[in-house]
Amino acid sequence: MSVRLGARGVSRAFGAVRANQGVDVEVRAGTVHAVVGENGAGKTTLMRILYGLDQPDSGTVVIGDRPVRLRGAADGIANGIGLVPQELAMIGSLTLLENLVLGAEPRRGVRIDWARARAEAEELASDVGVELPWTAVADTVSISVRQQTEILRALRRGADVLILDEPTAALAPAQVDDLLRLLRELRDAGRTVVFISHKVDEVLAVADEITVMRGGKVITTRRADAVDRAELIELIVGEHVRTTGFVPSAVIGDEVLTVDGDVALSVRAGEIVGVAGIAGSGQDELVERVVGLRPAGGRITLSGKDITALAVDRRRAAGLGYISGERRAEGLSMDASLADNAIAGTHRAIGRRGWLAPSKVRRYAKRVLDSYSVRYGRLTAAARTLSGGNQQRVVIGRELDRAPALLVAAGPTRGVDVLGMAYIHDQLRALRDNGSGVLLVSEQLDELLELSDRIVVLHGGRVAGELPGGPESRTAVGALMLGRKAS
Amino acid sequence: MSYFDGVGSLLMRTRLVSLSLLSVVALVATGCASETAPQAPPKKAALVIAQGGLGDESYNDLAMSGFTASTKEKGVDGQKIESTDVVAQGDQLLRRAGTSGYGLVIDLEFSHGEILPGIASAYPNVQWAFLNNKINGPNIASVLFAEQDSSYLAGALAAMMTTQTGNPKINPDKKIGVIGGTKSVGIDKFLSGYIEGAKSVDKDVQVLTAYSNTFGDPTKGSQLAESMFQQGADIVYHVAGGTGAGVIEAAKKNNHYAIGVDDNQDKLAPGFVLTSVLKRSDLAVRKVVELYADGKFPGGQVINLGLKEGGVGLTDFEFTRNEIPESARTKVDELKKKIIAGELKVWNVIDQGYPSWMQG
Amino acid sequence: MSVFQGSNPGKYSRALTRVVRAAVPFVIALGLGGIVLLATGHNPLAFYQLLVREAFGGVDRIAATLSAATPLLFTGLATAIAFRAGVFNVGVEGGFVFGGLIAATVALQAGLLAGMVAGALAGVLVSALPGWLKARWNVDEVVTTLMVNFVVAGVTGWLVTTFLQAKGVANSATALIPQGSWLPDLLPPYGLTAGVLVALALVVLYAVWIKHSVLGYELRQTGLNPRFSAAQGIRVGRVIMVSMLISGAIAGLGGAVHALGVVHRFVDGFSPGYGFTGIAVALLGRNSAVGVALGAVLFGALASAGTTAQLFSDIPLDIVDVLSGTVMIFAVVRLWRQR
Repeated sequence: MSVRLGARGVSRAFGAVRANQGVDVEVRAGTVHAVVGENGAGKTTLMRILYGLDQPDSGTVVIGDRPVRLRGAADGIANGIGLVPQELAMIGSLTLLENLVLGAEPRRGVRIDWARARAEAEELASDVGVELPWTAVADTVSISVRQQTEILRALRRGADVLILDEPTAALAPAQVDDLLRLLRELRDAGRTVVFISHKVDEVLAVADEITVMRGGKVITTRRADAVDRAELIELIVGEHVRTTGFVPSAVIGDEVLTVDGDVALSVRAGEIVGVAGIAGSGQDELVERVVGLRPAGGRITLSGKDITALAVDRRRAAGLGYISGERRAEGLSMDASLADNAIAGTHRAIGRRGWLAPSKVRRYAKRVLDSYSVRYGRLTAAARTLSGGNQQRVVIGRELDRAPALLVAAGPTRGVDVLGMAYIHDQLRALRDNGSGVLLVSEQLDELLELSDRIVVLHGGRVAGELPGGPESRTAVGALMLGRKAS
Repeated sequence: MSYFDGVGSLLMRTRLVSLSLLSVVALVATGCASETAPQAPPKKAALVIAQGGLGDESYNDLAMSGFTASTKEKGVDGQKIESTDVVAQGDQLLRRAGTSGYGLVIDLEFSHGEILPGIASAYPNVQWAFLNNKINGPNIASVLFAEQDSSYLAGALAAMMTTQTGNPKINPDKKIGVIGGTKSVGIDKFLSGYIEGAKSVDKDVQVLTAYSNTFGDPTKGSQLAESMFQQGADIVYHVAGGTGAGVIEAAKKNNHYAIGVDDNQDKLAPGFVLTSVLKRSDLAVRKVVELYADGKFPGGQVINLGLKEGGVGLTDFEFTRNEIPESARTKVDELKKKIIAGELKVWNVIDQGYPSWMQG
Repeated sequence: MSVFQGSNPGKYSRALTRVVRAAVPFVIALGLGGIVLLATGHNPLAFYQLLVREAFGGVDRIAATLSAATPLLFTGLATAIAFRAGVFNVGVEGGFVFGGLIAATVALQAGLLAGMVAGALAGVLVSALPGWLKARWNVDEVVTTLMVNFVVAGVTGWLVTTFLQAKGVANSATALIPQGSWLPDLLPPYGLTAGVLVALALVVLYAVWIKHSVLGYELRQTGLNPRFSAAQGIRVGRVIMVSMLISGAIAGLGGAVHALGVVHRFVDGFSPGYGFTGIAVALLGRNSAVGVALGAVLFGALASAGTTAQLFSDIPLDIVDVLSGTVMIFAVVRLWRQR
């Protein structure tokens, strides 16, 4: 196997930040090559350089064993490289077919030959074994489908190397499986795939070779079958990560939450109850009903008090905390200051006779951010300016600092890297051990199995079953998620 | 955060701003230095345009034409002043005019009536002229129009026409109409005269009346006129400014007559505007400018412009002459002479209150 | 994030950036106006010099400018408060007009203070229904507030030509308010009333309130991200309603101040579109207190100077319309980019 694409001694700095330092990578033809690392390890910078979107300060890109100079994305495309970016660049109001051929439409005379475009599209899709609703408008289809369209778009432009930047970040578990299957399909058809991720399990499942980056440098490149999960995590993080594993609750008290209706469940003090289910099984509805963002059918109690008719602020006052699954849209106000984000929901308690003393606000916000290790510059900076992991710490800090009797945590580690994830898991356990109840909703089965004392599985908007936490339940939970009876 | 970004555009912006700051500083510095000193000769006159502004093809435009012509003839330095907010800016505007070397300020805006006496007494060396209302003050001249007289003639003419036979624009009904812009004495002065004139010819003639409550809505005017035509009216007089354009249009569409107001509107729909009730704001302005230029400004007095002075009147039927019987035109002339001679006194709502034919 | 902000995290450079950005529309307007002036054979510098003198060149002219800015301070502030809560209220014009009519009517009977209160309440009345529709049913406020403007125009036009019309007055107007019930003049005889103090006090109050009060905090958060606010327990509907009611009250009070201070009655042409200019003021001033104050003074200066400049120059009023129109277009472009 020869080197299809690579980097030799590539360095790139942005101001004081040295994003890449002497990076050497060799991606062999016909392999899936994963580039892994924490947020900010320099993966995206490297990929932009390999594609030609960015140029190295020193060092060179290698294509087919020869050093080349890529001056722009067009050079990358000309060399058979395709990039599927993290934020998909599609035009939402156009159909998938229109997006596919955009910029390189098959023509007959001056007119676009839509029949031929459609035929090309079908052929591409069947080659890699996917089916796409070509006439659907991009805005109306799932991210997964848009991503597949984007991949086909790169293939159509003649790419035989595909670079995918964090392609699974926004996908549900079932969709992740589909994507990984597609990547294997591409490899087996002789194409080369560069796959960027910080999710260890996905990487191990699909990659032939793995390059680990940390702090802008390549730490090592290994064959996937020559490295195990724990070792890979340690390589990524650079230190031994204390993986706690499953630790069941020691003391379980009275019910802090009961929910009636289609989805009936309860959470007791000192207990983490996990909610599992494939996306759209009723998790969102459950969370919104408990938090008070959706009118509830059925009765909901919090610490024995009927809160069915209460608004969100009253529920919060009664001891509810909420980590939203959509950090950017609901968990934080991205354009508001860190201080304003930190006091949200507590602002009425901080206020005195309707006024918020600036010193008091500052003190409160500073304490919350500091005690949850948020790295920030000024309290007046917008939440947008923080990295994703730090943003989530703001949310965690805001909600946990109130020591809620019940915490509703929806996807609390979504988009957070390995270290951050361990930190958040520890925090949730600590809250539980202090006698709070936690309702944990997550798309990550591993997370649920590791943290939950009990797991409630949803299917089709109803409770399909309930199992104890811990790794032994994996198969049974997986079966219930798909609607099969647990054996 | 898109197009303002980047060092380049920032540099450009900073440069732009520093440039403009410099120029503002320069403006302020030089502006304060070159304060214009009030000069005695030549005589200067200002004309304050009323609400609606220039381009109304009526009151303001007509006054402006008189102002332009007379200041030119008399060698007076004339300046017009428009404002989008002439109601609220009245005080400051007139005061500024009082301190800017103007010897005469003519104010067309009716709502300035109350503030004018105070301002005029604060600037006793300036002569002030006001139209349409009597304002007291030793250096204020008021110009009043006898619109009731001209409206009387229009009413008489309409009453004679509506009984005419053999004219396709006239129906058998003895009905005519009038549309006022708003229910107020200033407008009812016209309406009262029109009705009185019509009744004087034939007391069985029925006069339909309506108010548009707007001076700027031709659609409303058209709707009101249509409805009057349907009720049997064949001649509709409008006293409603811009709203009247719709009345004239409706007359043309329904093959009936409209009667115009203020300016000569006969030409707006030749043959369908029976006549127009002229109110010569140009003549008023011209008269004031001339008296001022000749050093005979009638401070504290009222200038009455009636039929005799030619300040009000009817048009000369340029397009409808053939449709109006000789007898009718003679009769109108007779009435006009009687009014001028003082033999006939038309009711004036402003001085006398509402007459019996306008009760209820 | 711009390079500029990244490399200069200082407070002053950020402030400078904001000032520069706010000034851009005005500078472009001056440039455009200059081109028009040159093309029509006038000297732009001389004319701008005249404008500056007529706007600020003496106590009387400053009084005139502040007087012209006063209604815009009210309408700009009323608009900004609603915008801050994410409510695109374009019904301030209606509140201003209705407040003016009611204030002028009530003051006739019950005096100055009652007139002011009644005007503010009238404004509240105008904004209450669109506010409720938005808060309860999420009905698009642009449509409802715009419609309310038409309704108010119709109702006031009808009232002032029927029940409320003064006897013996030749145009559509209410009776003249007795002098005892007028807002006092600050600088007699220059016709600057205490209304400007009321407006400025409100602007200062707004600056402190929006930043440091609990309700101000909730208003800001609702405007920035309603979904976030709801999830943190802020009652978004109530905040929207409150913002609309305050907006209406300020608009109505503005109308009252205009009626009791300047016009001394309600009359046809009471507002030449102060409410709409207020939208431009709020957009230009980015809904901040200082921005609204500067924007109102800018448009006030253009209005006062543009009118009296005609006493000294043959340049028509249209050129001033070009200036303020250009500034407004830029303000609206900004809005379009925000939405």
